[in-house]
Amino acid sequence: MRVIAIALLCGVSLLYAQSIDAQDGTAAQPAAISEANPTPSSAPAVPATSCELHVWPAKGFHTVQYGWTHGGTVDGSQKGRKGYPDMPDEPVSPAIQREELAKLDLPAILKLDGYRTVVHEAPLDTPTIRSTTGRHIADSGPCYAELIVEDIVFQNNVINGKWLNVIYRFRQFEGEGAEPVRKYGTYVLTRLVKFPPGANQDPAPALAELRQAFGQSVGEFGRQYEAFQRRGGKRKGASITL
Amino acid sequence: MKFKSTLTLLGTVGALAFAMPGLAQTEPAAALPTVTHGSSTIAPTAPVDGCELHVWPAERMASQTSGLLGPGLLSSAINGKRDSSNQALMASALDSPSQLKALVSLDLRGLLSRSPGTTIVLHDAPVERHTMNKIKTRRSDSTATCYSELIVADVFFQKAMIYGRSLRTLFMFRDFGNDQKIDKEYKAWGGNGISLFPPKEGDDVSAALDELVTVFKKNFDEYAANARKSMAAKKR
Repeated sequence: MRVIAIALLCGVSLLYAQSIDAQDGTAAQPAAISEANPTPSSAPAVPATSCELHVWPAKGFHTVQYGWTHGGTVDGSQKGRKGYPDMPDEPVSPAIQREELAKLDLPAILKLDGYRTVVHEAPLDTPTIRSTTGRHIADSGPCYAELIVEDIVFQNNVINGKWLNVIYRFRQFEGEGAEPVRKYGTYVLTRLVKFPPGANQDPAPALAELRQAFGQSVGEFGRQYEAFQRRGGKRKGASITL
Repeated sequence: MKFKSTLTLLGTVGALAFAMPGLAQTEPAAALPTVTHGSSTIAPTAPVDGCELHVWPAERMASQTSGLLGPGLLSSAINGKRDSSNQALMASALDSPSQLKALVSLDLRGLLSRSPGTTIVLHDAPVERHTMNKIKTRRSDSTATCYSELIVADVFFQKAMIYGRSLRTLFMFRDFGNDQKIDKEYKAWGGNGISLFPPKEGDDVSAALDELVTVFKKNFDEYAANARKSMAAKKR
């Protein structure tokens, strides 16, 4: 009887320990690991059995504009070109993105059960993002996924208003496979009203709006991914262009 | 004012002659670039002969979508958000590093009739578009005795009811020889049809963005073939 009681106690303790591990892996998103290492290859060694979602912020912030008399020059604002609105320096820098990403439960957004999040400090450059077919972390475990913020573009059209356009790429790998079992990338538009701040305005509300829009776009990306899976990976239907 | 606005919104409407693709994609030049002062150089596999080809990416990108109503202010208003999104996706997929990477994946020396010993110098920052025609001397401070320039000027996507979808690219090549005077110049559009771009928000965009780069390369290939013909004709 005493032996059975000890065995039950051990079993309960084991279950309790497992539930704590699971919580560490899924729920504790605000405490997501923030990489101090500048390159993916220098990511810390992790147990090969744990599920990980690696996240990279975007390097670039582009601006595009269609105005009444000016338009077409990419990053015309950052270059100080005539007719393009003034733009704060790095309004959604990789550091800001990381802060916003750390507030979110990214595995839940992407429906990845039991994953822990690793947010990298250094962005990947765009040619690397687009040309790498395999894993960005070469020695990653069998349960591994990537969310890359590829680019962030502020788009301004004199008629249709201002939008934050964030381009994401998501890939999920299983086992020893070098090719992703699931992959998806799309862009997400979020309406902006206050950004960019006017010349004599307090920039804080506009910058706060931009940060909030970035955070919202991650959630929207998750919803778009879910809808994409429901469509069976098919493109949206054709529409008539007027 | 409305007409001026329309013209601005329509972007580079002037050059809309559609060209047929004529492809002869070639393999990448070999050596890895070395980076110096906002530019990187690709040494030739053949012995260096003192010739240089300087390359600049484009900074101007435009999208023009028209449908049943045809082009015009109303169409620009209706399709404005779509054109802005297209422009944003082009700015990302064909950012300066991607343009340069696409160009050096081609045999630039062969396609532009440069010597095998030509060193290719890649400039990270685009040329300021409105200075492209004004400046008639070398854009870099190179004193090479055999010097030429390739400038990507514009990238233009068009979706029209009759013509369908196309991506067009304006290139300019200048051969200076050993001084500051232009010996030969060829400026023209290369254009090809495009089928996957633009993707809708929520569609998987990877293939559509890759297609932009593929067609960009096709456009250069077409431009270079015309440039070779034009410059060969000028020699006679």
